[in-house]
Amino acid sequence: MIASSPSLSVELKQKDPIFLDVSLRCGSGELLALTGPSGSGKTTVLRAIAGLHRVESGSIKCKEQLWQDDKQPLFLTPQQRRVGLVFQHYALFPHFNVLDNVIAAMTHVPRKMRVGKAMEWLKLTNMDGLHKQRPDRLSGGQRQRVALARALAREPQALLLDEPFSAVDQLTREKLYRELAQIRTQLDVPMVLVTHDMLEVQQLADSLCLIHHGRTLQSGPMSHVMRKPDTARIARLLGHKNLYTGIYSNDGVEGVLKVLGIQITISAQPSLKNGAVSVLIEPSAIIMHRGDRPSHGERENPVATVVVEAVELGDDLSLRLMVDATQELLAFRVSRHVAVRNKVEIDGHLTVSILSEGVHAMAMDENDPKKVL
Amino acid sequence: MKSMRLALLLSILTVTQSLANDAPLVAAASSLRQVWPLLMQAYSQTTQPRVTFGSSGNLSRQIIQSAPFELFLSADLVYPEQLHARGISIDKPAPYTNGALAWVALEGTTLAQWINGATDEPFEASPFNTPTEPYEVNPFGIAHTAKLAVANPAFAPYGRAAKQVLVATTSNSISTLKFTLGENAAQALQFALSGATDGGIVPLSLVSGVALEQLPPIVVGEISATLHQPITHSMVLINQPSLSSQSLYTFLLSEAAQSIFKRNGFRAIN
Amino acid sequence: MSPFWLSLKLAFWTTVLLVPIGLLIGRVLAYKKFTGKAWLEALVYLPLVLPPTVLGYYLLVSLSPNNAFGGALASLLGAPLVFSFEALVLSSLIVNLPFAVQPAQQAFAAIAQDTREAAWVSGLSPWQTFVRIELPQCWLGILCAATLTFAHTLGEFGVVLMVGGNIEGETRTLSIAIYDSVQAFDMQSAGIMTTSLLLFSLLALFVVRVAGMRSYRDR
Repeated sequence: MIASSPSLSVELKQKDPIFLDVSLRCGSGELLALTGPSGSGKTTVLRAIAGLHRVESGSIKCKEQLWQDDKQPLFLTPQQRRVGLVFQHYALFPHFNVLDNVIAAMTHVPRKMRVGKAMEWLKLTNMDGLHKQRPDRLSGGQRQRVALARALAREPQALLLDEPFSAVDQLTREKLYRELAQIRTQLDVPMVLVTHDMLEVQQLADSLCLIHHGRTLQSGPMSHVMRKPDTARIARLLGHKNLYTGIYSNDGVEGVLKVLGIQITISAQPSLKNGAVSVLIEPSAIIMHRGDRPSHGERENPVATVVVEAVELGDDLSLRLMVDATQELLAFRVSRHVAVRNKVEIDGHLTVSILSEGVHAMAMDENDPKKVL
Repeated sequence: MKSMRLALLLSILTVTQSLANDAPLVAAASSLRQVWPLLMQAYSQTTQPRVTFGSSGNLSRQIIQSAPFELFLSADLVYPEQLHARGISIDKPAPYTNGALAWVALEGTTLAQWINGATDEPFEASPFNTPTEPYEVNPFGIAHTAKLAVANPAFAPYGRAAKQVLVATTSNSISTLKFTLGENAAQALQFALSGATDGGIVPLSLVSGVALEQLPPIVVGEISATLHQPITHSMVLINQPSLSSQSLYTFLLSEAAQSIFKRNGFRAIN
Repeated sequence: MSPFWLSLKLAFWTTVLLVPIGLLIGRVLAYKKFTGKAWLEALVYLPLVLPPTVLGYYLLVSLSPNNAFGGALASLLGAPLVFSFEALVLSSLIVNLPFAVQPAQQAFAAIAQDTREAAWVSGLSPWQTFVRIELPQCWLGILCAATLTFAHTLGEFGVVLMVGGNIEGETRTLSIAIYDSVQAFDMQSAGIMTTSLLLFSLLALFVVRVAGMRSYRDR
């Protein structure tokens, strides 16, 4: 759910201690994933929004209230801003029990009502049974829930999460994703989640802001950014694997792309110049032909390949196919029963279809290598 | 409950402090340590003065730096005269007794043997001149430099006098001797009887009469007054002394006090 | 006042006055960066390496009513500060400064920084954060600072002798009294005082250790 007018707008510039030139927008109820490689400055940006770090120049505005502004100059302290921040390592107060940890954030609530409201927050995060425990007796997942309850108890204008799931195991992480997904539907504030885990981004985020070396590279709705990155470099940073070089030409109505030894028709992209381009093929756009019943269709784009790698990963099979024509590799996953049905085996021939909706052409970066895998 | 206990403790600590401060403060040379209790018995005043012993030089330095003493009993004339010259004392120094020196050594030591073997009394010779030269070699045949304990001549009058005795009696230069310097005359005695020295030259008042009861077995040889300058103990009242100090001052010059001095290792004022 | 109580009184006042000072300085050194910080640290830890005679000398000279500073102090207080119990407290504060600052500094530095930030973000002012979040997490360090200061003051000798002057009931602390008794060859008194000081110190340190360990277990 993306609101039309941004609740949180952030512009930050600085040279020391790390370079930053970032701009992002987030609406009420929208969860923006702030992502990028380690050291790109994501946590610094988050801390700047919270008021824990003061950038040289910038403006931060949340729900019509200015938090930082160069012109006045204005800088509100974290206390004045009313943010909820979930720290990477929870930062629970070790000498308070769970209930007191949550109450600590409720200085704005009348004393008599604090315990009741705190228990409500704990109930929301499924921690009401453990309210008397000390943090050192809780598991990582439980501590994270308390940290979230404490952040929410502040009734913040913005919710900020700093890689909150990085320190827990996979199983707990899945559970926490589900819980956060449930809770956030009830929140009407902008939410910013810092993470470098692309799976997390895809599961939780409405929109995405990619930062690298302190600069915003691309931002926008998640599905759009993921499916249509601006450059191959951004595609790589987003974790895409199937990147190739192709030739693009525009015939006036549609775009024609020569890649992987075949010709694919895609919708015209006016911003692209005719000539060499980078091409992204989404794994979901790769369809296996049934060996016995070849499918027909207008945008079939069949590609003949040889299976070079087939690794079982749980219920799926992770496949790498080598294209006969160009020796380039295609990577995607299928469920095991589909693989069995299609008699997939190493060194076996396999023809696949590429759906043109899943093909995206981008202008080439100066330093693009020819092959990606 | 806790705060009450704390308040009680605090009040005890502050009140008991103020009660102790009525008795006048006296600065006295260390040579008076052993005779002092006897003097106080005879003094028989209700407020017994509080006394601090030390070397006369150190005490006078403290008085110049405004230490709150009211009466200064020095072991010489020089230090009280300095105070008078600075205008710190109300009057000239008044002699109240004369000091004497003694050789002292633990029983059984080489110096003890010499003290026991000497014929003239008080002593006019030095153990470092005798033909047998007892300090040339020790029982193991290794050359031994005698180590003597004296008070530090820089600021203790008894140390000055001890040096005068040695210069007068020792034909070899004093550089053949090693000295352990006591911070005051009482500490010199402590070093002399510690076993780490061969003995020492100390005030007679610290090793005679009552004093001997507290000491380990020792041998004492009184040194003749002709071998050193008179150790004239003089006293001064410091500015604005209380009545108690003034009466103590008077008492020390009285017959009763003077006879106590004479019986405990001091000599009469001329 | 007997030397025993005088020593206790000196240790008590020194600890009570110095622990808050040590806390404050320790916290500044733990959390703030500023030019000249290294000099401040050097100054704070100087009493550890200087012999007591050096400290005693400077204190004696500066507090003496014969100079401008000491004279001004004397007229302010009505009496010279030297050779008084108050002078002992003042010198004790300086001598024991490193013992109060160092455990406090370490304790503050050991607190997870993100708990302080979490407190600010949760709406607690810096003062509230200090009282409710920082102090409870470093009380062991404070206890250590207090114990060290107390125990060290009980054993002070050189500075006390130089600045205090061995005045009965005022500056004749237990350590001085022991020294004095030995010079008077009063070995009995010296022995009693030495034993009592030893036993008391042992007991105090033991109690503090047990209390510290027990509360640590309960946390």
